[in-house]
Amino acid sequence: MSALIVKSANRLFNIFKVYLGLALFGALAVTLIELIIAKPSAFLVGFIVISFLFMGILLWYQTDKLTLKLVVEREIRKIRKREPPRLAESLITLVLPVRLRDEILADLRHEFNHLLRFGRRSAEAWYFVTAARIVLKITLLSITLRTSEVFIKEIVNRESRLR
Amino acid sequence: MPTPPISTKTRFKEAVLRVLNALIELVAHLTVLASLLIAIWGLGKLVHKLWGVDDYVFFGKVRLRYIFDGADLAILVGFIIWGVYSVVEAYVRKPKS
Repeated sequence: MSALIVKSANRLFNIFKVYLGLALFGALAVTLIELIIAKPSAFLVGFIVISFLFMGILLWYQTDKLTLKLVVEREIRKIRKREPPRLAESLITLVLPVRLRDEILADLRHEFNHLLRFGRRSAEAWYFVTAARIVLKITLLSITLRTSEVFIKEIVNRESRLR
Repeated sequence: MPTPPISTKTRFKEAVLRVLNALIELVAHLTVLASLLIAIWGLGKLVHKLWGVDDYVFFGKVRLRYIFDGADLAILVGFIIWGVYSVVEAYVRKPKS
């Protein structure tokens, strides 16, 4: 019930505001028309002065808003938003072999840009997980290969000694 | 998939609610309109009484009466446009059952 009363009062107040605004507008309009009829030249001068004043204010606002620094910063921010996370990319760069690095990074970047449509956070999360998987796999592979190499070398040495 | 037919009772109830909504909107507009018109009329009378002149002229050009008349006119024109639109809109809007 109280909600209904509040809603009705709110609606009444809104209607009141509009009609009050219209009343003020009407009163001002009549005053203006009377003044124009009485002294058209004064109105013309006033109109020109006010127009120039508004134009100046708008131009000042625009130039202040769009300074070169802000524009450059905004562009940099836009480009950065499209870039994958640096830390994850650096880790992949550190771990991957040189001949594979560019191709894999390009693929990941392409996929990251595709996922950006679903939000930056999810794309970043995906990139971090993928980077972690790559780093883990490459490290394990490297360790396995290194161990195998040592092991094989040992066997070869033993074989040669036996001969 | 075809929509199920609505019973006459439901239709009648909806029509009554629509009319009720439109009436409430109309009464709200008329109440505000009447209060504002009375307030402007009262203000005009008061100002004329305070000035002691029947129709004061600002700067020798602008008649005080015209200002109040302008406010009245703007309100009435506003009611004809916005008020009628609101009432029709309240009638057309689907009522919450």
